[in-house]
Amino acid sequence: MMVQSSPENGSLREGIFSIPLHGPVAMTTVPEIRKVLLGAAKKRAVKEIRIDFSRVSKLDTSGVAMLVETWRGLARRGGALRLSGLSENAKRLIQLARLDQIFEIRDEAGSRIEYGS
Amino acid sequence: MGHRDLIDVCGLNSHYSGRQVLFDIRFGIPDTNITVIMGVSGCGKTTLLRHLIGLKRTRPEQIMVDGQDLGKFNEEEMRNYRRRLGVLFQSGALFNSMTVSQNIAVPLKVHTRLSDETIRIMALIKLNLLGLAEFGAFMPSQLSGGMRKRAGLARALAMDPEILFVDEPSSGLDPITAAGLDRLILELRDTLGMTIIVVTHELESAFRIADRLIVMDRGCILAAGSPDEIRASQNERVLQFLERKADTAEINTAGYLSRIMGNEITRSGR
Ligand SMILES: Nc1ncnc2c1ncn2[C@@H]1O[C@H](COP(=O)(O)OP(=O)(O)OP(=O)(O)O)[C@@H](O)[C@H]1O
Ligand SMILES: [Mg+2]
Repeated sequence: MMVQSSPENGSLREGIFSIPLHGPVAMTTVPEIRKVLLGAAKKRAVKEIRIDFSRVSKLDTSGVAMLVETWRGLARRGGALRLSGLSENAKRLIQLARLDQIFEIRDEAGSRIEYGS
Repeated sequence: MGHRDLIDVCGLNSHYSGRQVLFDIRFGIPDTNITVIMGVSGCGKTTLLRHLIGLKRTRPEQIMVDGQDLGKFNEEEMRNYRRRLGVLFQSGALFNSMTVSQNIAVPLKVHTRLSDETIRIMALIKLNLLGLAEFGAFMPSQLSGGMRKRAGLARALAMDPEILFVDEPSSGLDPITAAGLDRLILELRDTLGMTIIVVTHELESAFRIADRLIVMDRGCILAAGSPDEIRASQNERVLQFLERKADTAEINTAGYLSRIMGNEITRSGR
């Protein structure tokens, strides 16, 4: 199994918290990932969270619900949530949940996000 | 068609207290496909479903799941298998003492470590899928029959099941709601890659959603194939089923009369 995402995987730069996720973002893994994302969403220094899904193997409804919670935490302070590298299936799940209007979803061309060291 | 069989029914026989109701049933259930099981009332559809979801004991070597013998599953294997399934029973039973949202939350609370808020949002997503977003706080008794059915489906979907079993999804629904449900079932296959098994009497719905159709008759499989193959079938009983012809020949008139008249009929020398 892939290494789970942890706070160390994320980086904060000029108000943007960028984090790449790995493996399944699903019922078994969401409780841990959620802590990281909600933690970041709470920080005043964080204006935007960018999540890179390009190495995510699976997204289920619990993952989508976690994104809603993250988005809410940010939106309260005028922040934004940006998702990139989503698979077709993940995008369709988000559409099925009618949440594609809420998250900013970047397509492949716009998905190049640099992760500072 | 490029799909492997997730479940292989390979000679299933079934009995209720000695009376045989399924006879050597054989068919495959391909993954990420919609398999529709049809047939007149009493032909054994629900019984077949009960075997497939592990509610009725199956003898060894009659049903294989991922190449494993369901009839030989130990308790833990059965639990793990069940966790992959979403089931909407014909009766669509919900817990009457809980709100609709709480009903959907139950499996998530029992089987996951997810927080209450995550679960609340997941329930809302599922309710919205079924057009019930505003009814989460309602008690089942406050819903119409069709709404209860949809709430039952929302609960069956709570755990994002890999395999979904639905017994009579559109019975008791108006045509528009039923068509919406069909669209949702197709969406679940396409979006979530779900493997779906639907039992239905509704021909129109069956042909609209099925990748594969199974027509049952008196505990046997009469025909199996794509909707086009079933439509082209020359089998007399399949045609009869598709044309919805009343099955007068099947009614045992003598037996009926003997029952209604007590032993009068036997006295008059049949
Ligand atoms: N719990 C039971 N005990 C005894 N016999 C049963 C039981 N359930 C079903 N049967 C019998 O098994 C046969 C098949 O029933 P089943 O419920 O599988 O039919 P069905 O195809 O689902 O019918 P319907 O379309 O009416 O739901 C019937 O002859 C029925 O009488
Ligand atoms: Mg039935």
